Amino acid sequence: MCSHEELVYTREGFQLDVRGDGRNTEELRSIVLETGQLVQASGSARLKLGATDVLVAVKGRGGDELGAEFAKGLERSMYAGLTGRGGGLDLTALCVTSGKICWLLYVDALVLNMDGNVSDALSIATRAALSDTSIPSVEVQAAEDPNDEPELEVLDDNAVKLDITKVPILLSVSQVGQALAVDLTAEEECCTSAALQVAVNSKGQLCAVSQRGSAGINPGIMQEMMSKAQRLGPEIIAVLDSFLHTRSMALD
Amino acid sequence: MRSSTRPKLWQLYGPRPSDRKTSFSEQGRLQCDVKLATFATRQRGKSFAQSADERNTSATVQAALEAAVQRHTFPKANVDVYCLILESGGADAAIAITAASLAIADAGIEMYDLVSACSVSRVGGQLLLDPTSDESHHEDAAVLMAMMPSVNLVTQLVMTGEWSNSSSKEALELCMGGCAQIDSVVRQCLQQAAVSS
Repeated sequence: MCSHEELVYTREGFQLDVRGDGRNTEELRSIVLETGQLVQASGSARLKLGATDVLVAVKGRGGDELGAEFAKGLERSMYAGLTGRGGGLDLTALCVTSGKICWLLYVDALVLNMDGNVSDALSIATRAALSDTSIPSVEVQAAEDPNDEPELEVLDDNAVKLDITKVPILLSVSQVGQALAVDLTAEEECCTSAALQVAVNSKGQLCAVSQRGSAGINPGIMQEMMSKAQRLGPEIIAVLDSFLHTRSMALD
Repeated sequence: MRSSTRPKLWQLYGPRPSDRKTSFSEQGRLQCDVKLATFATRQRGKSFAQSADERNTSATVQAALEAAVQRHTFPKANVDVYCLILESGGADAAIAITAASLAIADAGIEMYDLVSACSVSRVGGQLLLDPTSDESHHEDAAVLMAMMPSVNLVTQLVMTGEWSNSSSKEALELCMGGCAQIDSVVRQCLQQAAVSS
């Protein structure tokens, strides 16, 4: 995919904090974000991170078990420990009848174009799609016979928005030679041997970490990667949240 | 490999030629498969096909070992490593990684260093190194770390749950200490095996 000379050129650029498209190692590519274009979905978001293009739709449907399904990378960032305490999304908001009926949220993501850093783009788009998601209120009418299933009526009028304040985003910090960088294009990803995928929430807390790539990372550098993600993550979330807030004000 | 009450069985095949349909690669391929025996957990497990959890663990083990194995010494070939967990008693993935590394070294496949792994669970604010399955069922957050202690490189890190700065540093240091302890035991074991054979 990349010639040896291109790899050397790119790596040397990273050491000098200059990349092919003029960014420094801590800058993300420009983000174009649109929410709510999919009418049939409970919530949706289309995000372009440079040339990487993803579409995320959230669909709610009545279900019998408390739970939500995400792709593996997003899943770890959203889930807390096995006890269920903590975690990005407050699953009790999906409850209809405690212990019996709840909403099941499906997050389906479509990658329209891959140009590096797809996981981060997906996590930001998922957060935007979840903020766009409204759960309709449900009226539960108990049946005459207590053993029968109660009747459920879905009311579209009083839809409740999901609370996404604790939802984290994924930020991948990659090691290129001696430099650490975020948001790598596909070409730049050829130069990296190891990366740390860090889920950070708006308070800068670590929500999940996983190592990617087939090389080892020095523990000191690993700590630096986590600190970098904890510093940049809240800044990105703040910009995203202010955009989503102005958009929801404009729609109301 | 038997770690107190958690016996595991590893079998290694290879290097052997890869399938014709796989493309040429200058690096050898390392494939790890982890399966729980049907009697390994309290509830009887499935005897056929891997569950999603087992696939997850296999991918974690493979990623942890890839950095350590000198894959350029067996180009175009596959090394297949199979693990059967006879009794699941907690920290299964960590023990699987350490045991796999031991099996690969025992098979004479060249590595940069041995890989040792351990996990830490946070239960009610307290950090527990090498948790049992009961302890990990009550965890709020967990860390799994695999590292090559002699060359001081971390080959796999998986953290789940919310961590503050200070608690994450503490947990990582605890893991590194645990890995160092495991490494010395593993080395002794290999030396004894080499002497007795």
